Amino acid sequence: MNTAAKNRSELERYAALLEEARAIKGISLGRDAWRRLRRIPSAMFSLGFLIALGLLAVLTPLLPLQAPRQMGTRERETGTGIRINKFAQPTFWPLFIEVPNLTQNEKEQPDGAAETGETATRDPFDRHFGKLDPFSRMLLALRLKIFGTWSLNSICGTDLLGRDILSRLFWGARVSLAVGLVATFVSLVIGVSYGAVSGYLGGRADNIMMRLVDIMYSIPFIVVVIFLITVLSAETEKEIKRFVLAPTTEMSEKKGLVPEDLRTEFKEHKVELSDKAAVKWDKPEDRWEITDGNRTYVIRNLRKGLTVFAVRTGRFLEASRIVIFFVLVGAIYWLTMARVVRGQVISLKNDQFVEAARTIGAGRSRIIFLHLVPNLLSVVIVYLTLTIPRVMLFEAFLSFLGLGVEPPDVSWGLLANQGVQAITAVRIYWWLVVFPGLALGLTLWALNFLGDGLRDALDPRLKNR
Amino acid sequence: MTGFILKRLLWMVLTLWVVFTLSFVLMKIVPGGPFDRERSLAPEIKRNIERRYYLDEPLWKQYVRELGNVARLDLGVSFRLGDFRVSEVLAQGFPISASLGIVAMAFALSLGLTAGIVSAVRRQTLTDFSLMLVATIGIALPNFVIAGIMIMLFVFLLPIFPAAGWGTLGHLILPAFCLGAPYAAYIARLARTGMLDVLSRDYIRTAYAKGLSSRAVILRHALKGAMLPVVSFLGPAIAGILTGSLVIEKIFGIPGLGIHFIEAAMQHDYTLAMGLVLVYTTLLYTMNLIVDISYAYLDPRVKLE
Repeated sequence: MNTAAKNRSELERYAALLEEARAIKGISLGRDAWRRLRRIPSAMFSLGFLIALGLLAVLTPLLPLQAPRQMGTRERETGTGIRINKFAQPTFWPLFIEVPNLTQNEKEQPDGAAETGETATRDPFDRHFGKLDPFSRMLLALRLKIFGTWSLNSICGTDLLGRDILSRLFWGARVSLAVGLVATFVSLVIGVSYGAVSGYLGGRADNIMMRLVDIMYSIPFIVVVIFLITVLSAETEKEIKRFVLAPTTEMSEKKGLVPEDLRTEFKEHKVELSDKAAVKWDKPEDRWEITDGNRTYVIRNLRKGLTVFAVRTGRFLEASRIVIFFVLVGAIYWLTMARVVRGQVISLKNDQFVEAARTIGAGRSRIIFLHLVPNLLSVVIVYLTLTIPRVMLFEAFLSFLGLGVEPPDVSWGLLANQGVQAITAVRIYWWLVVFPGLALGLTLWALNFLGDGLRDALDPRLKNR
Repeated sequence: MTGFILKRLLWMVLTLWVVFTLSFVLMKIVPGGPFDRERSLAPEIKRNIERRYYLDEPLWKQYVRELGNVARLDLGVSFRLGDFRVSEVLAQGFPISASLGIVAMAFALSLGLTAGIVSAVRRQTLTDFSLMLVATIGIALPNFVIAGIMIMLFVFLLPIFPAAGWGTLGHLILPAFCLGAPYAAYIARLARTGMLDVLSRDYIRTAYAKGLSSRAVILRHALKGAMLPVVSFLGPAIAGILTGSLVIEKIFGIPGLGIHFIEAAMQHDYTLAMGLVLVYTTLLYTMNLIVDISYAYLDPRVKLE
């Protein structure tokens, strides 16, 4: 009996052990890290915040917000006419207002439209929201179906031109986040390839490549970047053609689209004007301008008659500042990444899996990019979350100097800059500084916390603890 | 030691040459010169100006001439600020930017170190959490937002400091604080981590065991070890303060180098821009060198090679 009980307890013990063994599963590196990350509340909170922010930024057109470029959406009819509601304090009541002209053009300025060469049929969406991609347009149409023209009141106030800050914050988030992500991605690609190649090759190539990085570390890059952006995005004017129009040509009353007689006149001088070409004048009788794409024809009334100067205005690089920014940031922020990756590759490159790959005849680039780089993922992810905030701060810094995102596009840096510019002794428009600052601050805060959390979670020394 | 410094100085010369060449090439390939106005100049005048600044020579000759001038520390004449030599502009702006930077650095170090040490010693208390909260906010906010909030609070709401300008001590405090604040926050976090690391070491336990007061242990034994991560951060911090001062000088209207730099870049004032880029590079390099040397002094295990 005694032995039977003993046997049974033995059996139970084995069963328990078996149960325990069954419960233990092999855990992949990623899942292990995820488990540890879940235990860090600040990191999880940050992750949630960032996911929510990303979703909201993507779905911004769907939200019942006022239009980011519409001025004075709460226009009030006063005795003297329409007053733009600029620098309005944050107002919570009523929470929702109806914005009747959200989908209409302001019809009171047909002259202005003609003068800028914009036809009256210009889409109100474009006017109030800027050029949108098809997906955003679809969301916007959906929003108009769901909410109509009802929009959230200006709970963050309005700016100098009476534009709603809350809506500008949301639309700015799209730009700021996209800039942060894309620029970081560029630096990531350069840094990882450079570091991995340098570390794997070793020897003299490694030495030269790393010396180069050392030299670049000592270059005050921000200074160089400012110089580059101002110079590369400066508009250049170049005179490419000059001819005198026939003395019978009459210019003084022409405005809007180019009339047929002027068109044929131009054709005689071998200049084809497109359908979109439009005339405007600064001073009647003296100077007119025809804009056609990126080319401008200046017509001046000189002694020898109406003279046309064909001027091409354009940039040295036909790219927007944002693109220049991506490339430049990619060119700067890869340095640290390259160093970190190189160190990791050096410690990994003599491991057996690399040896095995080499044995079956894998080439250098195959080993580097298919075998080594995936093993660097943890380092890369951590560094990624810490680089995005730096890039976003840099974008804000450039926007502050007027070298970043160009109006009428918005980004958080630009918004904060406009707030700082609006500070006067007369009245304090605190909401113009505080809300963009808060948006930027919270996002960077979350990214920093997430980066710290990921570093702890992916640290191999903490594994299985 | 001397060998190390000499070697690094040699590298500095190389770096400066790279920067010079890079800037020179950029300035020459980009269209639009410093003398392009809205109205084109008469050809004779244009020719005269170009001859005056040697712009009519072939590029390699210009390059050699300018490199020679820079090697003789002659930065030439500013293209835009008439009658000013680049060296004069630098001599006027440098002391201002330098004093702003030094005071900002002093702010960053004193505030950051104090906060970091206090929160490490009182770790897991309310003091620790609130200090670190403030520090993370400081890291996450761009300095012009901090400056905007500070101006609203301490210039307009409570009129303590002047809004802008330069000359008195009052003009210096607010800009220097805004410039130093993000770095104070970084230093606080680094000092806290370093301090926590050191406080768990055996030699600290020994120091306590032989009956030293906790003040003596922290200030005499722990602090030196905890300074290491802070010192290695000083290089990037100095670089950041240099560039941050571009923004701060613009907001507070301080006539330092930063304003000149932005103007020079925008107006194609190439000689001035080149001079400033070279000065910034030299500064950055020298500071990194000093940081490396002091690192070896603080940690005897580090060997300078």
